[in-house]
Amino acid sequence: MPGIKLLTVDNEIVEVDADTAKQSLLLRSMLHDLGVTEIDDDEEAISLPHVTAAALRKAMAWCAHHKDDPPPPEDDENARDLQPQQLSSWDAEFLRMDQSALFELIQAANYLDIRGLLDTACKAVADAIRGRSPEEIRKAFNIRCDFTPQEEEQVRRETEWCEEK
Amino acid sequence: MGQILTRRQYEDLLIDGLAVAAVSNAARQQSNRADRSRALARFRDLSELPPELALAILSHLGPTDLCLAACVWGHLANDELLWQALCKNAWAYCTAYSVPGRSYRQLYLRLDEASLSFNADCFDGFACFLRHEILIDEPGELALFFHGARVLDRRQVSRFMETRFENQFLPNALRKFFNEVEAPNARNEYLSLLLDRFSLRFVASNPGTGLSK
Repeated sequence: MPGIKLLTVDNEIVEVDADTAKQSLLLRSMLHDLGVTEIDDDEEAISLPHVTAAALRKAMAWCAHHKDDPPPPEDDENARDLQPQQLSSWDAEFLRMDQSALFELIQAANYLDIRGLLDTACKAVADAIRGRSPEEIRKAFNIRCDFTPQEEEQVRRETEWCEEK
Repeated sequence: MGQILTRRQYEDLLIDGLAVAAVSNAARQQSNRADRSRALARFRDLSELPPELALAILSHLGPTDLCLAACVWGHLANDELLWQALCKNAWAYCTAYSVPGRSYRQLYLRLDEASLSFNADCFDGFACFLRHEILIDEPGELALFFHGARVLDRRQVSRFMETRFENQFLPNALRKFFNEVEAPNARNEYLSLLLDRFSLRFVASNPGTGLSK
């Protein structure tokens, strides 16, 4: 299987399988444009300005697992379900990582244009928010509260209706 | 008058200065490198992501969770696009959507409040829809609204329709239709399929009504 070399933002060269890499629409068109077919030691690595090595490896592992998936359906706002769709247990397990690693992965999936991964990772973050009170969200995301007590009280009053449902 | 330095003092100062510059230069380079990888790599919080990605995450939340998230990320979770999607998901159509400058977040709260009231008593709820200027009382608007509202109790909707349009043509036809075909008890796909078929047929056989499906 031919491989390609990618230079990540943290200055690491990561070698990835070309077929797997083609699930990234960005890499697919880059490889197409460059006419890269197989690895060549003299070939310069393709530089990826927004992707860390850890996120790239993670993204490629996801792509390798999902290589036989059907392409995701076109976005249709009207068809969106009221009920959130559960992540598959493989994805849920795969995305079990700290929030900043997950954010890195989202950023990488977005830059590399891997729609399925972007969507899945966004759902995983949403799952971490769902069903939590503001205090619990702050704790989970390690956020300092920047509301004054008065502002906090006002927001609480405005959103009272939703807590009792 | 300024102090005059001896040659020796001058040299000492110069050496000190150079040493300080060299040290701070090295430190700066090191911290630059660290900053760069930190800035590009470590997102601790949703608000540090590019906004379109943060919104993509929040778009997976329902209204209750979005409201709670607004206490943490006020600016992001109150985004109009998110609330517009939530509105249209639950109420595909209402008159207020075409009013420019409307806040969808506020509209959502009002639609929700009025719908709860409607499900308890359709006439109270209807008054509430009118009072909040969500709907205007015209048959075409009402038809579109009730057709697209997923959260309204169908029994209240039919109670409302029966009273409201008792002697009018369409509801009579609809009632007759449901006398022939047994109406399902639950709001489900079968019911909406029946209604879709009925409305197509009704429009086709009554070209003069000015209605479209």
